[in-house]
Amino acid sequence: PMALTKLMQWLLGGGCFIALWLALMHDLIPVELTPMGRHVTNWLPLYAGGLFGLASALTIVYRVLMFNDCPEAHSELVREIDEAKADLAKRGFKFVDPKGDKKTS
Amino acid sequence: MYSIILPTYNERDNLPLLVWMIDKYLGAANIQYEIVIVDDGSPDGTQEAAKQLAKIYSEDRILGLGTAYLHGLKHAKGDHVILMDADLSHHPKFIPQMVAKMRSGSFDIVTGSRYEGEGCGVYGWDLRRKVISRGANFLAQLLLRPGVSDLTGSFRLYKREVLQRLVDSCTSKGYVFQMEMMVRARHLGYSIGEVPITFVDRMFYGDSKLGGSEIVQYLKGLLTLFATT
Repeated sequence: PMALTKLMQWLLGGGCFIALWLALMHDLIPVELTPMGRHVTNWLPLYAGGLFGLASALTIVYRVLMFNDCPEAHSELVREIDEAKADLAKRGFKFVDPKGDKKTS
Repeated sequence: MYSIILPTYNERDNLPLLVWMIDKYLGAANIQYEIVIVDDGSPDGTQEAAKQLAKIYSEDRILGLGTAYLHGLKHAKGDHVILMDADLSHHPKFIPQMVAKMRSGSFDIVTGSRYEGEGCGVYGWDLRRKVISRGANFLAQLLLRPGVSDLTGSFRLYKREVLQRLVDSCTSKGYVFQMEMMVRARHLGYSIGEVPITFVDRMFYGDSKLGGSEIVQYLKGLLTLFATT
């Protein structure tokens, strides 16, 4: 059961990330860091944020490009509309002409 | 029996065509149905069209009401309910597919998805609309992890008691109501299946305009759901 709201889950996750990062920043975690590693650690939130933003943007661009346009759905609908109008008129349906006159079957 | 509830506003032209198509596809699939038309006081003669259709297709099968959205549920006699748009953007040919999906997967809800699955798609959206749609969906997936690919879709098949429960527990309107129903459904433990659908936007009108205020409403709704569920 989801007792935590999504917001709380994010705050919790974000809090853990920040705690970990601060621990690294203050050398509380016994790990050897190369100069490059040190640099990345110092700027970790920024790099993480930037990477995430980039990944998101690329995902969205990809999904827009891969968007399925289905023109056949439109042409099928147009055909069926004509079929429907003819059949309904035969069955006695009175359509209203947009100009105000009534069409009769 | 399957009750199809159609909320209408000024659909005098589309309504008969939709009813014809529902009869065609559900008839071919041997699905027992009724159509409950819930008209929001249309000035264009939608209710007259509904009356004509009731005569043509039998008054047992077509019921026209003049009350607000989803009060139609009280008058529906089926044990399954289909909600769909009345402007021909949703095609009834997908209803038998949803019915089959619900049976084969024992789902409580089957939703049409414009975004995922073989054969899904949208006709009539320009680049701007596509970008907004993908962006909005991405955000919703990220924040809500709903387990449903098309969160704002409104073409869905429900077991009647499931829909009743959701309608009773949801409070938002419009786009956000559709989203809220899916999120609450998951929280209540209901299973949701998906069927890819094609969505033909704005058959008879100009561009599908999605304005700034609608985007703001969407974001507000999304953030509310994010913070409360």
